[in-house]
Amino acid sequence: MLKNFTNTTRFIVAVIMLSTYYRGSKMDAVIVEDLHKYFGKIKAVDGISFRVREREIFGLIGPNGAGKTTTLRILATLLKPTSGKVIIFDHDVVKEPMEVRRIISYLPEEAGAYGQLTGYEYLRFMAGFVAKSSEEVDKMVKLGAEISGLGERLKDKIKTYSKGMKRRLALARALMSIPKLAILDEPTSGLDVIHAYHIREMLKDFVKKYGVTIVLSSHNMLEIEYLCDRVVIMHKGKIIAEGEPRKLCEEHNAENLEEVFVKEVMVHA
Amino acid sequence: MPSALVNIIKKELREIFRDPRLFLGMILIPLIMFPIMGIAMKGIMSSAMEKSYEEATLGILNLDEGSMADQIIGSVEFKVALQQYNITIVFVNESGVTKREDIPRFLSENRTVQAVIVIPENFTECINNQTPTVVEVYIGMRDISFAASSVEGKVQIFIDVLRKTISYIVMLSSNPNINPVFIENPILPIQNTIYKGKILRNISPSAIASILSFQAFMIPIAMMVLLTMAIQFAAISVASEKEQKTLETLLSLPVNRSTILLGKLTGSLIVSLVGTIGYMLGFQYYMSSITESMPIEQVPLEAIGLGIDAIGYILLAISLFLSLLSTLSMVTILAAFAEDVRSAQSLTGILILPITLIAFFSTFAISFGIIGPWIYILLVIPFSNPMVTPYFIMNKTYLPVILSMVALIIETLVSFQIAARFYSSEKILTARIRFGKRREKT
Repeated sequence: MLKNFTNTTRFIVAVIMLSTYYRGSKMDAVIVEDLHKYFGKIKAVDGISFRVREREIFGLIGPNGAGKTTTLRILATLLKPTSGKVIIFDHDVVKEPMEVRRIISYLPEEAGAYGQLTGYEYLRFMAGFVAKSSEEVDKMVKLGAEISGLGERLKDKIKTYSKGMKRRLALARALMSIPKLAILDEPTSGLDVIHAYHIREMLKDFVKKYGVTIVLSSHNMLEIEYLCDRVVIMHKGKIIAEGEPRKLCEEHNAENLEEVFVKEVMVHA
Repeated sequence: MPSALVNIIKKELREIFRDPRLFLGMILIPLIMFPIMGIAMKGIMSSAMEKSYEEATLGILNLDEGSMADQIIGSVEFKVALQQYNITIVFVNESGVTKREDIPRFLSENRTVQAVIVIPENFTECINNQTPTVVEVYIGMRDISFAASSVEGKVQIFIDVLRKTISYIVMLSSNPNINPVFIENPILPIQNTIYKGKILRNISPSAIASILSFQAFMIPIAMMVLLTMAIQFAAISVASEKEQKTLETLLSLPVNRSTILLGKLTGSLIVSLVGTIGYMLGFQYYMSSITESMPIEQVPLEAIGLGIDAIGYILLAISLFLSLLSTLSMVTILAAFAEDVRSAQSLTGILILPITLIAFFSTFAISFGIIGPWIYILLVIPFSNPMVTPYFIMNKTYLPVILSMVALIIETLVSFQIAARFYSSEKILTARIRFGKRREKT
């Protein structure tokens, strides 16, 4: 059919097709290339590379000491890589740490909060660093209060909160600014089954609603399988498997990600 | 919309003022403790003073073989002179006390007579021969209190009146035309002091010295309190971020590490200043409670050029701020190695010990006028500067203070820079020193 068109028309059609293709695809939110991180003689991260696409939930899984937290801390600009490159939305974490901090939000595995402040005061304090106006602070605190689900308890001092309540507050803090990239280290750790379920639902909706990209780590394979679009399995600082959870299961002839995980770790042990 | 710095300072102040351990232990208790001690001391001192004005009855054991004791002590004039001081005398001979050995029993049985004065057998003879006579005094000490010393004072008055009376009698017996009062005080001295070329009329050097030594004592102590408080608050502020697991989150925010550092230092400085003002007000009240009942010569410091003028206050404030900033920058580096508040407090003990020693050394050295090259060395050390700067400011020798400020600015910039770099590095998260047992995770 194209034979009937002139060259110019063919060119225009090609441009339209290409632009349609790229508009539908996602750009890379995170690029990690040959990343190494050593603490003295210990190789915490040993030459890993992966890419996280925009608006994707990306999971890091692995046993204790696999290098997940170190990787997330490098992404959050808290640690400097020994070598390798990490780019977040076109910003190098080593060369432009402040630019990176403006677009990310990091939830550490053991995130605490100031016991003498109330939940509201804590959210307001944290929003004060990210928001550009008082109205924006109010908006963030409102969203944070909604995410936390703590209701009236936000008026109480944080020292009176249970571990689960503190975790919900910390997660609310991490998401209330609607960052371009949320780095969540074990987001549901310390939460009971019901709260963990709600958090997972909320994270899924959050990505859909606000187009946020999430990189998270978890020990909970079901959680990872349910939440993540793609995962990497880490072991002793290296990536031993990467892909979509369902495809990984098929490739490994496994029923679930837990089985894939165990098989891969056994192979590399 | 508050800046990041204001945001951090506000949070720091909220945390400290709401933490009962910090607020009670470091601000409220020192603030209340001194006034309570002052009130207690005031009560004790005023009751002691009242006691000294109370009527005292002194016993006289007259063993004089002549008539002089009867003539002097028994005279109406002598008794009237003593009554001015609320002293009544009784002759214990009438109560059956005839010799010295009877006195202990008499004093323990008789509650009204507090002391017995023995007029010796050779009293008249000694006066006639113009040789000193020995007068023994026995004071019944009924308990260990100020009461005994108040009786001692009354006995001293009795002795003085007796001495004066004997002197007048002897003088008038040799020449009835002379004025014994004049003989006793033929000159009236007026003490003037020349200090730095200024004539200070009616002020003795000892009065100036006592005021200066009081200042020399007060200022280093105040500075020591301020420094140790600020050091502890700064150390706790950093370590509690680690203990509460909030540091990682804070460091991942889009805020300069130097702003975080400055916010923490400013918060600690503000709380320390509040604490020190309270502490010193309490201390001042305590000291004034003690000195109120003991009037000392008042010296107007401004009049003699020893007061602190506006320039002095400005220089003092700047150098205090610089030395605090410099010291606290070092403390924050030290505290960053601590994993928890307890470890931070142990670590800061390393700094607090020399500060305390320097405070005491400079206090005594300045009080005793031992001024040497050491004072210039202390002037350029950040944590000893606030203790010796007031000495120069009060003496209005501003050049060493200004030169030391230049040194302090350099030291502050260097230490703040080191601290800021440390906070920008990952060492802030990875450095670890822990004192005591690690708590097992459950």
